Amino acid sequence: MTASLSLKARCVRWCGTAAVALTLSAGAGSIAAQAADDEAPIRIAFVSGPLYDSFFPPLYQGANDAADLLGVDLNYIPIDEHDIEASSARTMQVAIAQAPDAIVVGSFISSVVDPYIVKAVEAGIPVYVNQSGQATWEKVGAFGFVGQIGPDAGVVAAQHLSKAGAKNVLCVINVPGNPYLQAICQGLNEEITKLGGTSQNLELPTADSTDQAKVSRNIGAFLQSHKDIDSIFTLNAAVATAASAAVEAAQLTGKIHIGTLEISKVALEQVRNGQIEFLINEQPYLDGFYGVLFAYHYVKFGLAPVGMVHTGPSVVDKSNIEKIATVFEKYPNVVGSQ
Amino acid sequence: MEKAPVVELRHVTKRFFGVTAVKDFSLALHPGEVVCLLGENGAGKSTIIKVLTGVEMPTGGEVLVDGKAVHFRSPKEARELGIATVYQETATLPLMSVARNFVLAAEPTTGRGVFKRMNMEEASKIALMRLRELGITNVSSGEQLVGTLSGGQRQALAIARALHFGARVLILDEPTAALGVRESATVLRLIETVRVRGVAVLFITHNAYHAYSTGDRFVVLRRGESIASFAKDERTIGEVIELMAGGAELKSLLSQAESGMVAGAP
Amino acid sequence: MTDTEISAEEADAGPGPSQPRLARRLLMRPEAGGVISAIVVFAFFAILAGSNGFLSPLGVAGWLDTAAELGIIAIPIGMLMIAGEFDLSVGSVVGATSIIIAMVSGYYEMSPWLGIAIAFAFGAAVGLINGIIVVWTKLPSFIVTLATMMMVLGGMLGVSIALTGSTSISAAATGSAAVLFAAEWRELHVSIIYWIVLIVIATYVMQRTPFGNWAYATGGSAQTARLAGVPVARVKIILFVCTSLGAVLTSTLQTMTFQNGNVTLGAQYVFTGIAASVIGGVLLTGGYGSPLGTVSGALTYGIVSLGVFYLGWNADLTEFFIGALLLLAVLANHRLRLMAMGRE
Repeated sequence: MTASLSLKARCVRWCGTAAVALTLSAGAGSIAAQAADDEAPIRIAFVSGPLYDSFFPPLYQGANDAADLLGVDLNYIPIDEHDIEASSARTMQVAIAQAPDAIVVGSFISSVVDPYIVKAVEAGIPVYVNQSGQATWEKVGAFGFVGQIGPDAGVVAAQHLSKAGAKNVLCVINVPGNPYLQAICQGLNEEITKLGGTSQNLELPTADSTDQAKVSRNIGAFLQSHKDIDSIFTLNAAVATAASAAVEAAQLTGKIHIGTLEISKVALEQVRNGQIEFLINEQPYLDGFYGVLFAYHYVKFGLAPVGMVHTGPSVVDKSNIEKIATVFEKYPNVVGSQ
Repeated sequence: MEKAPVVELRHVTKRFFGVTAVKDFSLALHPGEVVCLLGENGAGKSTIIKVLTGVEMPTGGEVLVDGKAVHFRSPKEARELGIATVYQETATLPLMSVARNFVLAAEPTTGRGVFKRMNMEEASKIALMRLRELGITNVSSGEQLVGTLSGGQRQALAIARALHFGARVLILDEPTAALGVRESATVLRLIETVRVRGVAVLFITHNAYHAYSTGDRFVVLRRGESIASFAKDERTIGEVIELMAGGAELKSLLSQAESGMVAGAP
Repeated sequence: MTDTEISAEEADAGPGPSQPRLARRLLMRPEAGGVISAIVVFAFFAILAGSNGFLSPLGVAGWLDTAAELGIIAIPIGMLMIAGEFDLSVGSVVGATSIIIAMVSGYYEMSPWLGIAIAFAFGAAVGLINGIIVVWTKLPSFIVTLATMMMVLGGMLGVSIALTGSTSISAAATGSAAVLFAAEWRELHVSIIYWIVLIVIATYVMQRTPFGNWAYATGGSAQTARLAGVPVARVKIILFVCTSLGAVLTSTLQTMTFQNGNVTLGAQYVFTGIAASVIGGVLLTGGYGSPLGTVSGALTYGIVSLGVFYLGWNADLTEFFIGALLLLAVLANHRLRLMAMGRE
């Protein structure tokens, strides 16, 4: 169906390459590590988003890399975004039923996931909350949180756009009604207001979410009727590319600043040639890697970082583009999906 | 044939958008009599069926049942007066059992209120009994899917069903078309059985041999008009074929197998 | 009429129907394929992943809950398919009614029962409209319900944004509604009870009542059914309404349980509902199948979609397995049907 609630609202379908990356990296398991260690390997169940959502392949890669290095027996259990409520519950049921040594979970729908975190903790399984669920993780008995606080991306974006001279920002929400995306645009709105500007949101129709050309036309039409817009922040690299095409078509290149969440090959190229000002990198690779690492440390040694560990947002702009672009080419699924 | 006709058409004319499909057509169906309606495709046979079964109202003339003029507004009204049609293509449902087919839309039930349910034993019993009455004895289970029956058995099921639900007039639309020789023979035997039981049969066919082997009277239709109406002993089969096709040459083309079969029929 | 002629005919009628062996009788049932596939996938995962939590109480609850939620939708979808029609609008009805319940109970802070009542009325109306349009226009239900699906989805998005500014709203599951629709007993969700009740009712209706007979006949050939005197239009409209109501029931269960209303909730049921029915032996062209088969199809889906997690295989392969099963089911059903017709 066209309607899909993206967990983190990155492109769901445009990034078809994610599936290829997944088959390449899947199953690079822990057999070598098991053989090397006399003790039974630590078993970690990792409940997070599906690899068809381009946000998650780097997270999956990070989790797998950590598991390989540490000799962890990792079971990555993806939530189905098309059935997110029920799937969030089922995947946690599966994780608990497997009685692993620890669970790492992205609590995207915390009203659904939190009761299961409580159950897991009651069953003696330590839980590490990852990526989402920052508001409730302590209350439900998880031993830590690693990830990015949603609205922070909006705050950082506002600061960057403001520095470039933005007064009137358009925040494009590509999955209508997604609370995470709304929170980012809200964060942007609050910060830009503090800095003396304003912002408004544009919600794209659900049916258009996978049609880049249509998204471009939608944004173009909005710009036509709102001449005061001087910058655009998008929540998905493909939407940013669509926005830059709309800006170009309206012959406003250079007059409208564009920033976006998410890294992609095209977006990196557009930063290099100036069509896009900056990219916000949520660094999902670190979410995955640290999730496994912290769980491992906690199970094995009882050690854990104190409080929340922030993995984002970091910013990619002209100052660090070369380094990031090189890594992007050299290591697939580390800074972003290919 | 002293008995009054069960159903009668008097000077019926039917026009569709100015095109005359049937013109000044008269027909009487008596109990225990098989009337064969012969004619090529497009001669007006199906229009006559539609008028008889209440699907279409005649433009002119009248329809009488038991001697009284009637005006059918729906096929249901015709059915309630005992006029039933068996179409070859749509008579039965192959993926449903014999019993379920037989009782369709008139299911026997037991229990009351919410627990009112189909009485499958009863349905099976009736279906098999009625089939046996028509001489079909080799269907032994009501649960058998109709799809596993032979073409002749399916026709028998449809006819048995119509009779069970009170048909006094049976209109058979090309019941032997698309059937093999042996299956056709089964159907012709069925018609005979039904006639003996006092049902009026209108047998529509374009096969003169099939008609000749069972019919008591014949009506030949061409371009919407009755061109001949006669009893069996009034014409030879060769004359019938000539009347139907309007030419003698067709007669010699008809298969020997069929004429052989007719010779062997009762 | 002589006996010799009849016995010649018997030889022509295929395998003797008199005393088919038990195994053959069972194989000829419409649900045979579905039951076999459910047993096979269960055995497969029980053997390979049984020690890994698949058979633990929590594990069993997971796939049973999944099968129940799908089954509640799939059983009426299967019945509608038996009567020869499709309903693509079920998914959007789930989403739209979940938003209705969430808006009433969460956003406006009224009784969830009011929301549930409105949701059921809305579902019944959508079903009625689907049915009436299909019956009146004689257009394929595929296209009619595709249109209503888009209208329901788009319309509810618009209403939801206009009233609340969001398309994902927290629902308040309180009082008796929460007990009835969100209760759990050792991880077994209350939806399993609704599912079982529905299985019993649906099986009774389809196998034992005249209405069931009419539904099979309508799907077998609407023309034949009509000539026999079956109220074909009424049968179809009733089944369209039942299908929508099944969607509302699943929506209510999910919204009350997860306390979240979402327009996109349940979008997958369009596919999984039809897949469960077909895996369970319902013929795509109508006229054949059974609720018990659809139940087996839903169970197969539940087992496969959660079983792969226990194997530690890449869980994104679930859809691949379901697709492969669907293909197998279509082929097997075709064979089984030919066997049932005595034309193997």
